[in-house]
Amino acid sequence: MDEYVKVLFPTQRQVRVDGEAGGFTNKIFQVETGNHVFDLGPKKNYRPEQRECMVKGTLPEKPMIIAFERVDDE
Amino acid sequence: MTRAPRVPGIFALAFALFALGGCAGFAGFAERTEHLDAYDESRGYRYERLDKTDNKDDLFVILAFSGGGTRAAAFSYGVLEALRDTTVEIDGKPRNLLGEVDVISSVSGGSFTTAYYGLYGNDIFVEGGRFQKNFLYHDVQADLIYKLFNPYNWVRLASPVFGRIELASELYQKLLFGDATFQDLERHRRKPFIMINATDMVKGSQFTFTQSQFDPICADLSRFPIARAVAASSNFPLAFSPLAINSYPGTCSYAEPVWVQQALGDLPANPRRYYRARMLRTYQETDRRYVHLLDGGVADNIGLRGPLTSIRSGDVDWSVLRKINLEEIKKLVVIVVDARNEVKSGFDKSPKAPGTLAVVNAIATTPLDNYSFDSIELLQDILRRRDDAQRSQPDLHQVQIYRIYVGFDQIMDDAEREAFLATKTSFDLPRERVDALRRKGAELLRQSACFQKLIHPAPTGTGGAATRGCP
Repeated sequence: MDEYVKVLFPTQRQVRVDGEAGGFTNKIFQVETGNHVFDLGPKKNYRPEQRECMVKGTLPEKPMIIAFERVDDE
Repeated sequence: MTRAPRVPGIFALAFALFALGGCAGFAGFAERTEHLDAYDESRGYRYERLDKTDNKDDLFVILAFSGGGTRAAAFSYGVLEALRDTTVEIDGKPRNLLGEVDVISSVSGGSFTTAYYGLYGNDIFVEGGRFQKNFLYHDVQADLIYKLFNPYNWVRLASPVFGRIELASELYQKLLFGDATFQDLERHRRKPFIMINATDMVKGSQFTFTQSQFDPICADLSRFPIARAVAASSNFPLAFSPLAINSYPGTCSYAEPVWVQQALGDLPANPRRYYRARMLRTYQETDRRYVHLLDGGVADNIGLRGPLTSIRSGDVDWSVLRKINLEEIKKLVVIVVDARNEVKSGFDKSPKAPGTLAVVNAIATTPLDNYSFDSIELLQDILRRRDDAQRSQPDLHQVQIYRIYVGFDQIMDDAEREAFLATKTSFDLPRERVDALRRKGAELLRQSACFQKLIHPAPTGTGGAATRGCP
């Protein structure tokens, strides 16, 4: 089953889905239905560290929105 | 008078091997599978380790070769020949389409062509060369039976650690693959990535000869002979004994992928993903010391299940979906080469009950054909959904999708179609039939409207449907 997500972040960067590069921020991309862990990779200038979401019932026109906040580099 | 039922060739072989070797049919286990000392994602035969200099992922071509003995091997061989003779333009430069193939996934008879091409590249096409002389035009079936009749092998078969499948493995080694192992594929790092598929007899699931499949059982694929993998993939039930490989779970610091834990909570939402995770977990059970393998066709007789998962899921190591999301793929081409036959039995002309062998044949082949049909439908469904999603949401990466099916049922002429569909499943076909299968594989590919659209794309800027593929 196909689901669609959009990960929001002030800049474009790679999104990791379940620990693997799986898309880009601010662009809609497709994932399989189910539980997934989203993060923005090793450069930890974002919060929260990760988001665990059940992605289900989305449409290309109505993707799940997952937001990360930018924080100062540590 | 009723016509005597025709027994498919592979079943004649099955019966002979089963009858002659039945009492000595212990699960074969002549050769130990090497232990993997330490799990390391940067080693072993994996898609991401292949050289992408000459064959980038932007045009991503997947071939799926079905089972069907020499019929399937010759049919898929003809498709490879047509791809070799086809040029596509990439970045303004003409490129040979065969050189653009990224992955070949195969089962049973199709695995001979796949493995030989994966190992030796264009040497497979040498007229009168090893592949043609020792396999396509060779009576492999007679060789197998000869080996079984050899009294020397009776002694060996009496051992509980030597089964009939070992004889097949030895024969394929002698005829085709020599001492080649997966390390040879790792060394040349050349695409396509070959996926030789067998069936895990206990779990009933697909088992693919890639390092990522071997990781959870802490086994090293590198030194695994290609001939044994092909023997496992074409290990027709009853004709051969299951092929056993060692499993050493929990001994190599295997790191389970993150998705597995996530997917174990997916039973209500996505049972397919949940069971995929469960399956991977079973390979880590420390009391599982062996994996017994049967013909890849038992789990998937068209070699399409692995590519299907890769196209719709980010969970596999060579995920096509992730490559699309990362905008690495511009064109996705999936060519399914289906050598399915329809041998007429004549049973429905008589009230006489079909014999045991015919019943076994029906039980063994009918579910495979139905499952293959479902796989092809599923591929169409997945690719069309993606195409529809792209049309409704321009923010999604726009990949051109080409789905090409090559099968006998596409032959327009009734008599010719019936003749191809009636080709028996055997490792011994007449030369003229092999020639015809090669020609027909190439011809059907070239006749495909979608294939023509791929090699003669609409000029840039024509817009709309013209620039879309054919999902």
